[in-house]
Amino acid sequence: MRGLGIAMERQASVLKRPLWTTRELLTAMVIAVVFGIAVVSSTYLYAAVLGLGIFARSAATGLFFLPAAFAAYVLRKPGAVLLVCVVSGLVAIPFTPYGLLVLGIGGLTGAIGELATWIVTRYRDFGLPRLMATGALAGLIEFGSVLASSLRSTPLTPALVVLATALSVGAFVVAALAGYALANAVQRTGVLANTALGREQMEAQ
Amino acid sequence: MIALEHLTVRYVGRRQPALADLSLTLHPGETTLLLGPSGCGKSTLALTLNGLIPHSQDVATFSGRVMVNGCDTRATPPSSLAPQVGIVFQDPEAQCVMWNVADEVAFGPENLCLPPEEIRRRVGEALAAVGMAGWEGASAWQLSGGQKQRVALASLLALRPRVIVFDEPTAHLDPQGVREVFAAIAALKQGGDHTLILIEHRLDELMPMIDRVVVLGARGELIADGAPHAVFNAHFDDLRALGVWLPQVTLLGARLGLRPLPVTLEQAELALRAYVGSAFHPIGNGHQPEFRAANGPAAIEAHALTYRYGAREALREVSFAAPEGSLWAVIGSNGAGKSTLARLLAGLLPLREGALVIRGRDARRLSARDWSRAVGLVFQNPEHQFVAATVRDELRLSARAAGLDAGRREQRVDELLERFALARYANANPFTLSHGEKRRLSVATLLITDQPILLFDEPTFGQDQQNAQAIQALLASLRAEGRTIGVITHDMALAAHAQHVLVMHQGRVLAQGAPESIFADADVLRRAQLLLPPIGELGMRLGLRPLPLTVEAFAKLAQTPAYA
Amino acid sequence: MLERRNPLSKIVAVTPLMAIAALAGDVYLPLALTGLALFTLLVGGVAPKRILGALIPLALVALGFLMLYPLIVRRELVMHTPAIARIGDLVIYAGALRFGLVAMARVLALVSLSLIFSLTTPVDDFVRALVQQARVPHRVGYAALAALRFAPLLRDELAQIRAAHRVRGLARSGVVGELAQARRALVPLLASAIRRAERAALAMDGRAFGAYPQRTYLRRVTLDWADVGLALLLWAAAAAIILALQALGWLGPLSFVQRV
Ligand SMILES: Nc1ncnc2c1ncn2[C@@H]1O[C@H](COP(=O)(O)OP(=O)(O)OP(=O)(O)O)[C@@H](O)[C@H]1O
Ligand SMILES: Nc1ncnc2c1ncn2[C@@H]1O[C@H](COP(=O)(O)OP(=O)(O)OP(=O)(O)O)[C@@H](O)[C@H]1O
Ligand SMILES: [Mg+2]
Ligand SMILES: [Mg+2]
Repeated sequence: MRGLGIAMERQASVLKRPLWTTRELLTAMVIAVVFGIAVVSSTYLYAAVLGLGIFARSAATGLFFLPAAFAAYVLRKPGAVLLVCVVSGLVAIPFTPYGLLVLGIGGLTGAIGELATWIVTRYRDFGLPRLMATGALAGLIEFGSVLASSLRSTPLTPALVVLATALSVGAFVVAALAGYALANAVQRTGVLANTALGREQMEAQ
Repeated sequence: MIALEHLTVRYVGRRQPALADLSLTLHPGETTLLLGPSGCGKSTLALTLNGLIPHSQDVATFSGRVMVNGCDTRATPPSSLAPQVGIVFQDPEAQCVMWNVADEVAFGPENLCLPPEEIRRRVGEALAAVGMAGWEGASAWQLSGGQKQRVALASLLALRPRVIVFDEPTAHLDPQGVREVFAAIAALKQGGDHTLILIEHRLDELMPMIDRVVVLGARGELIADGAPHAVFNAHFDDLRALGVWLPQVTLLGARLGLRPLPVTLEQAELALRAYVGSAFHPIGNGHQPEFRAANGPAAIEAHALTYRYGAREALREVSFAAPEGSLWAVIGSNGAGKSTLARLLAGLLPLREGALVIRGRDARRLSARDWSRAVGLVFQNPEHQFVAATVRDELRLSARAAGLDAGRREQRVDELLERFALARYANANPFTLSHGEKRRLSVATLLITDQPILLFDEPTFGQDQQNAQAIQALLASLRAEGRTIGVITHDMALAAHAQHVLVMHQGRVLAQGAPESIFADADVLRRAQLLLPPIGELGMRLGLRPLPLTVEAFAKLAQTPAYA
Repeated sequence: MLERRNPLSKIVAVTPLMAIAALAGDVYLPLALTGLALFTLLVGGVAPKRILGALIPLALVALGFLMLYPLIVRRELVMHTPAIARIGDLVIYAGALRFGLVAMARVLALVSLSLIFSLTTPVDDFVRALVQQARVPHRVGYAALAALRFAPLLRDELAQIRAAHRVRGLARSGVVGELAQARRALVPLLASAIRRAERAALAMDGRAFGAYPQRTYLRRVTLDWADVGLALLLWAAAAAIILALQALGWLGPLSFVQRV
């Protein structure tokens, strides 16, 4: 059934399609824009998150991973996570007092998230367990990168280092879960019918 | 030349094809009007003409073929289709993609890798062709809807296509924007170099330009094809049964029993002059048929309301009285302050300056809860109001928010499901309903507490005829229950049905009163940048007073003894 | 003045300064760099009001750092410094406070430096520069431009959705209420944004978007001597600051590891 559907589409347009169609590019990017304006640049969240100092990065990067998980789950394409994180950062630049730094956080999260997504899902299996595993792995890598990039965490007590790691992993797993739940809620509205997720669900029925 | 040969298109996930075995030839230089009921495949047809289907939009079936100047679209890359066929879409916001006008118009030529000097020349020419010369540096946010649509047209003209398709280009515009876009289309037609395909529902204004009418049936099959006069006369009853938009003057002609049916305003004018003949009494015969300004107690009274967003004044000393139990319309161009007024009346914005009396009570003394029980506001886009996963949960949520106790809640929800004919969809996701059903649900979620005053912000915006009519019927039935219904609208035909009209411009009230007198005042119309509804225009030309604005009003007038 | 500089050159100019600020181990260097950044912004023609608008929330955050650090720093590192306050069992050491001060100064410097870019660069110019000069694929860049253009529209729409929910009596106050409201608003907002994206994609493809591997440009992003000059001036000023602090003995260690 699946094979047949795909075969018919391919036959309809004899031209070669780009890896990312315009529709997919724009879909991924508006997801980033929506989260950029609704979440990332929410002053409330920033104040709360950045007031936490050293833990800021872990939680903030987890936040960036939410739209990325959403887009990866919906589009199932290499590059979605990176793209979404970077664009979220771009959107947030004018709306946050953090300027270029948001873009840096976005790029870092994107690279980490993309790596974790590639390792865990191979862009094929996007079931809930794998999404959570992706989040956990991304959280670990991200905290690893904190340790590696700045040994500043040394002045912290060991208990706090453990706490920060847990926070980082937790933030990413929660982000993955939230992205998954939200994508399913949006899927029920029918607007994702033309995406990989929409097609998969249609074939499942 | 474009030829569709046995074209069948079926979307992924759909059982029925959107277009079924359609064969059609479009000739160079011809202006074709494409008609059909909602969902019959008009937009789908448009997308096949420049290869967006199948190149950009996945479809499950694409059989037969579309030939553009001898090339099969399936095998022709966008780089050579785009310079032949361009489409202006409905939504001005979604089709202007760059940040300023020059970049927007240059977008297509840049994609074709034209040299910069050539691009610059084309940008200038294209903007001049739509009357937007000199706007190169303007940012997309500075433009009105009508200007955006004209820029969208210019951005296609820069690719120099010979065929241009307009898919409901005015559905999202205020009357001034409609006028601008029609003027731009007329200029193209005048030039004589272009083949135009129009999908539109404001037919009266367009009719003089149309050479040919093509009608699709509900299943995407060809029903009629020919010159407008011939098609409307030969198929009138079928078209009406199908729910296709028809020119208002044609509907009027049918109502008055004219043969042949008039299709343009000129034809109608001619026919009616002959019809009423010498018994025709222009202006002021003292006879007042059913028109009357609604008097009596006011549901809402406002005195000198002023509202500012920061330093920006959105409302200035707005005073009016909305008669109890009436259909009350607020009209005016974009940015006139209509939505701000609605929000103020619904208690969503703080009442800072001026006084507001709601059903005899000072609004400042009302508690938030009492206020929301008195006035309900239905937003333009019903989807914005939805938060739950099913229709029933949506209503339950409202019932809980309204503070109904548990037993009463379910009962009220069931009542509303019945009342709005939504019981069948109780477990469906609100977003998957049709436009009309969404609108009904959005009203239902609000009506939990049975507000006596309901305000609608642009309820028919971007809707097709069937939905527009269904919404009108809904408004009428809500009013029949004794409610006061306020509508903010750009749809002059809807405003024509009101008992009381408030005309706003730049935050002020320009005029208020019965629609017949408002629309008869050319000065007000010009200053508020409004249009007469087509029947009003006809009445004006015939010199009728009081001015009839709707087909029914005109027909009544024609049957009154004074004219017989 | 700064507005007209090449976006990428601005990034190249401030990045080394930000790196140095991030490495600083004492408060003077980051504070001097903050001063340099503010001076550059003012001279560059940025309205003081906008700078303040960005700095005030930032100052609050920095204050947060100052208060938090003394509480979480590892005790052995600062036990040898004098205790300055006692709250029950909790001892605040001067060394710990110093950690907080340094962290705060670093954040101030990082952010003010990045404002040189973000307050003076329209996002569309930045994306154009990325496409034309940094070889970001043009389809990706232009799709981003189209999507970013929706940001203000979607913000308006978000406001509308919230108002629509308020009318239904679904609004709750407080942080939890805010979060619940944000979550509720997301589904309609995403649905509408995704539909908009699909329509925009059709409008772009209908104008031959991505027809060829390259494209030409009506407006070219330029790089001129003023751009190079800006970078050189900033670097020279930073070098002068470092040398001066060194001479005064106020530079402090420049390293990843923070010592006391
Ligand atoms: N992307 C899509 N996926 C699935 N079905 C679609 C899609 N687009 C349109 N359809 C369906 O195909 C049919 C034809 O739609 P189309 O938009 O062409 O109609 P239309 O005549 O333009 O309608 P309207 O007057 O409402 O604009 C409808 O039943 C519609 O629901
Ligand atoms: N939230 C806001 N902040 C600042 N200005 C606003 C805001 N909302 C509206 N305005 C401005 O107030 C004026 C009136 O806007 P309003 O939305 O009431 O007009 P409208 O008549 O409803 O227009 P439209 O027909 O386009 O819906 C406009 O100039 C608008 O730009
Ligand atoms: Mg359509
Ligand atoms: Mg409005």
